[in-house]
Amino acid sequence: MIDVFLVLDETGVPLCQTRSPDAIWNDSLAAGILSAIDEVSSVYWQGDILSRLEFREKQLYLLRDTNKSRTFVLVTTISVPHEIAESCLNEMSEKFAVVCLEKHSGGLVTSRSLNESYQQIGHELLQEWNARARKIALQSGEPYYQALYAYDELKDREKSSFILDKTILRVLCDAGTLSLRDLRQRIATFEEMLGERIDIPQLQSICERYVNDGLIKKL
Amino acid sequence: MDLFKFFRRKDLSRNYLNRMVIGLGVGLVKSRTHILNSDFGPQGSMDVLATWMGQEVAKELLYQKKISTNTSKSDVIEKILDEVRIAEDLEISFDNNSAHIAVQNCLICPRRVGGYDLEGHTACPVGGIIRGAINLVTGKSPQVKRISLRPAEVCQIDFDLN
Repeated sequence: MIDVFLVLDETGVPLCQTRSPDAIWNDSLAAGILSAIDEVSSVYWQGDILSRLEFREKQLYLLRDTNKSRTFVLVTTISVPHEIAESCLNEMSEKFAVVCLEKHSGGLVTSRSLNESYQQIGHELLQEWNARARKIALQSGEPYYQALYAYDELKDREKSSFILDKTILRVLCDAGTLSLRDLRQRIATFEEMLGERIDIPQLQSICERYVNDGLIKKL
Repeated sequence: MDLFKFFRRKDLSRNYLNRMVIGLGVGLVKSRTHILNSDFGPQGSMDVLATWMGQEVAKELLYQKKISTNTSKSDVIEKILDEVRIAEDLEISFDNNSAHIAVQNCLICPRRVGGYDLEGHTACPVGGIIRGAINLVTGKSPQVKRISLRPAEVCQIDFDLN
């Protein structure tokens, strides 16, 4: 049984997190992940909700670890619109459970020995979902924005930009392509941090400015 | 036994300082898990804190009836810069729903007034204060189109007021 299923963005911020009713998702669980998977370097919490996992390796697509009887699944580098994220998550839970069982039937496995194959499986699934997600978004007429540079190339230019704008650009650069709704979801913490509602038109206006500046393009 | 009693002088202009400290406090609490992130840097952290400071100053302006919830964005900018004297020389111009602010001889510049070496960083609260104030009054945040910060020289900030 999968205890915890996490879908994280590239920066380690959870887009979805589900857990089995018996799972206790707290410091001890995080400590379990930390001790078992050395790609995770830091865990950040907002109350008892996971707010961010920091990875040493950015290329991480998918990780699974079985620590005693508990199973954790971490998925990163995914771009799925919020409305279909849940169904994708369910689908992946099923597929992944099957893979887990197959691997287990072959004998004792560790997270380290599984990483490579699971990354590949995860990567294929994510590619498929990304394509589906983009298709749905394009059908609905929702604009997508695509970064044209790596953020490191723009860091100096954006040094004194307002933090919200700078973060939007960084998120886009890290993700490659995002819809406005995805973008909004990823910077959701700013609403509480700045004490204001950050709506889609506001994000669009910031993105359009970056389009005019030639830093991103609209799809 | 000597008794000391402090009387509060009724100088409403002093309330802005209190409000800014309140904003600083609440901003720190609201952003406590984020502003130490290296992605933010000093200017990013100041942007967040200054947004709360601006909201608090706007509350004081509303309380003192210097502005109302119907006040335009451009008037909020003018009023806040007039009441909270942040610089000796301020130039504000409005053009096509944009506001251009040039700040010279800034009175809150950590480098010019404080004499501190900012180690190549900036930590200017002006953009955040104005953004926070306008959001509180109008319910809509202006976009900070351009910020050019040159500590101890001339800093320029452009807002999109649409």
